[in-house]
Amino acid sequence: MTDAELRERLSLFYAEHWRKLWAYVARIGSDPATAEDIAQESFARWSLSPAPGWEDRRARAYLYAIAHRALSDHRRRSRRESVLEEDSPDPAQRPGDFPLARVWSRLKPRDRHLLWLAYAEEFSHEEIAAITGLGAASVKVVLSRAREKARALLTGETE
Amino acid sequence: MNDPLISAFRSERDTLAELAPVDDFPALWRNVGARRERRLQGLLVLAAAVPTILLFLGGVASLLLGGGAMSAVPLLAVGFWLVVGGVDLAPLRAGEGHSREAAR
Repeated sequence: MTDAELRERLSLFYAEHWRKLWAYVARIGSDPATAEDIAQESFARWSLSPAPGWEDRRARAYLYAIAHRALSDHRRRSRRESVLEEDSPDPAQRPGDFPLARVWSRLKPRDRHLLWLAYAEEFSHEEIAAITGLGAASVKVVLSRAREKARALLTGETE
Repeated sequence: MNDPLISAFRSERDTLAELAPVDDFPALWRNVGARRERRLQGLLVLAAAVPTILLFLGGVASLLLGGGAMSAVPLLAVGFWLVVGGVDLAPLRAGEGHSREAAR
């Protein structure tokens, strides 16, 4: 692929996924400015990876896996642990109003992460497993429990 | 299917995506270009270093194993010359190029 072709395809991919990737990083665990840095870094790493491919679903899952690792690295540098085990930043730092705030604050960090990937980003269990490094069977079980809990919280069945 | 949970997540995603900062593809492309250049320079240094080291080690080995002293001298000389030449292949830091050129 020539430089011009790479630039053209990367610019299309970037334009299509930039906002959602930023939203994912911002919602899962960072302030808006850090989310911007992590999202930009993820696109750069993605474009240099040996075989990113351009098929949309696989390419997108790979991009999110890179963002997940970049976010984990960022957390480790901040002397914290895995993004799956740790609480998100103070909700006040999050951008915008958050309709799911009541549900969100009562879920475990890992549950929030998996729910976001499954319902906001519409990834399959296998894709979520690849992104987070969890086993596909674990994703299915954890997601099922998280979904029930979130549903109960949303409808007010759990106080 | 109209699942309120799924609808809530998608609505949240769309709301948040609208708040995303403006994308900056030129900055990304510059970043990617700089990384590709660094990677290429690293490969060049490696490509220069491997045969140089092998040649140098060959010279030392033929000197130590005996019988090859006559060939060891030119091998070591070529190896030394390549090592010195190879240094110039190392990536330059900002501003270093001018001082190196001026020193010549």
